[in-house]
Amino acid sequence: MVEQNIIDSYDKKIKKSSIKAKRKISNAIAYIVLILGSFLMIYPFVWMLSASFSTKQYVLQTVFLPIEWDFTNYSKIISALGSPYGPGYWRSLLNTVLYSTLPVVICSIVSAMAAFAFAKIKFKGRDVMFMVLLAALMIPFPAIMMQQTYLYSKLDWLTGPWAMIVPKFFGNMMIIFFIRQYLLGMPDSLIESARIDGANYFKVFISIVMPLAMPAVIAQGLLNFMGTWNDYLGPLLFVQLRDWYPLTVSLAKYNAGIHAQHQIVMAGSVLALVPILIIFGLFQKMIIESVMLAGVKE
Amino acid sequence: MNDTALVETSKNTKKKKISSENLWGWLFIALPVFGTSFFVFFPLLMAIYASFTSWSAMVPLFDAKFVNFDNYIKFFTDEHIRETLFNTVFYMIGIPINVILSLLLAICMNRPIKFANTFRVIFYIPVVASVVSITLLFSRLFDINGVVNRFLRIFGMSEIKWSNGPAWLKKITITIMLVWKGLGGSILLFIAGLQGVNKNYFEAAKLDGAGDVKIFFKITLPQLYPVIFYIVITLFIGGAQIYTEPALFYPNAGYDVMPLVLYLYNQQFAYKAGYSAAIGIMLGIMVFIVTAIQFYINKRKSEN
Repeated sequence: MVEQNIIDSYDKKIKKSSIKAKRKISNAIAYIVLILGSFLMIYPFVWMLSASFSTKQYVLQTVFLPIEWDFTNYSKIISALGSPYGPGYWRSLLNTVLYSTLPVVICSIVSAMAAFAFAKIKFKGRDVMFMVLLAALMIPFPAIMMQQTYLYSKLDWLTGPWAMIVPKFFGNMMIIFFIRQYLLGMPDSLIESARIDGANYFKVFISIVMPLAMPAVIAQGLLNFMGTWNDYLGPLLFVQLRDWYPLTVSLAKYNAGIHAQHQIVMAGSVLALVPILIIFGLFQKMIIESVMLAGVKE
Repeated sequence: MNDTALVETSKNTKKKKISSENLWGWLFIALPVFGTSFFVFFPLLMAIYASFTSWSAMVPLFDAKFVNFDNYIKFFTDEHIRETLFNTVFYMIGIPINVILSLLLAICMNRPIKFANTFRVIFYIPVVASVVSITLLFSRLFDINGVVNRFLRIFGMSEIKWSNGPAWLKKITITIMLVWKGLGGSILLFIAGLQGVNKNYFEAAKLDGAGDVKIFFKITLPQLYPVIFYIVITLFIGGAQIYTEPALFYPNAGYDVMPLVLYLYNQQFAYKAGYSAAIGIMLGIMVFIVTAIQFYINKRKSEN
């Protein structure tokens, strides 16, 4: 009897220690996989940075550090983005900033207002309109992009920055959808009590809804900002005057030109990348959480 | 007398309230409704109309000649459509690879390990990075004299003509880049899914003597189907519209690597705007049908 107990506890100990050992091994495997994967994720960026400091002869042979250093590539790309490829580096950067900041902020606010109406105001035709707008999301961009371009050209927007700016003033259905999902979880009583106190819906939106929805609005705004910053096909179609090219288009035009050199293109790629990486670094927690939330809500 | 008056006023305030809600509601959605109508639905109607004409985009749309279904007939007989559509589908072979790899990595990150958040951030960096920068970078990494081949040689393998070789290899190169760039997004969705997995069944299964692998396939994976479904759908919809990566990777691309959207684009600039519109409409219809089929399969699966 006693012996049996001893054997049992001994068995348990072995089992426990074997489970512990098993966990340790599987954790070790997880670490190895993740570290190897992280290397594969990071390495191309390291190479890009090294290549951007390399001389022309050795740029492709770069592995970790430049074989021969050349610090002039950045000043070269800054002047190379001028005619005939783009409007110059600084002007391209300014255009990119112009397209991806204020219009994105306005887009977020307009979208949040619509999201509030769709989530919390009971008005006639609400559900029908929501379905109609949702249907617009199912139309792939390439199916209508040429007609949009034609429409904008008739409005005489293509010779300026307007086609990259004005449509954003009307909000974005994807953003409306996500902020609406966020607001659905908000209790109605907050709004009702404010309404009884005599506040109109605009006041309710400004003083109650907007502060509550801020995390979702900012996260969606950041994703929209990054999407606009990185957009290529949109401005390729909608910006026809060289003066208004954003960075992506100027860089791609330079890359396709006859004077393109690897190390200079890489310097340009670094310059196009850095602002986004800084923004992502600052807001990574918010961005990652909102992406994860989007998947759960679906 | 008093009572009826009271009822009247309450009716009035109710009416007033409803009409004010109508007013505010429509006011708040007015801009998106107008924007979507004017910038999305109106161009769609234009595209549908144009797809039945021989429009060149040089004259007003209503001056274009009506050609019935000619553009659609051409779509089904055009060998370049077959090639470019095949390429677009080919680029999607990264989708199952993406799903499997990201699930594996998400499981690793979901363990109680240190730096789990750091790993998440690292894998998400390629997702936020500009497509243009990344494509220009990868076209150098996979150059015949590039660093990928250098590593292959270090490990004793012969170099591969990634972007200078046969068409399928050129496309594989782009697919590798797409998988690399897309992993981070799927990982986040899988982590969210894994955290939502109901663990109540785990103990019972363990008592029944089920191993970790069996528990994963029998309990965890079925609960992740909605996440897998979401990832596959979004990657498919994005993949059907692929344009930038092949267009930048191979600036003078022939039909052997050209995606459908680039062909559509070229048709427009070859003054065949009617045909270009028809390609766009067909693309929209194909995306819609495949998405609908996926939703149907998903629904049947979740009902079982």
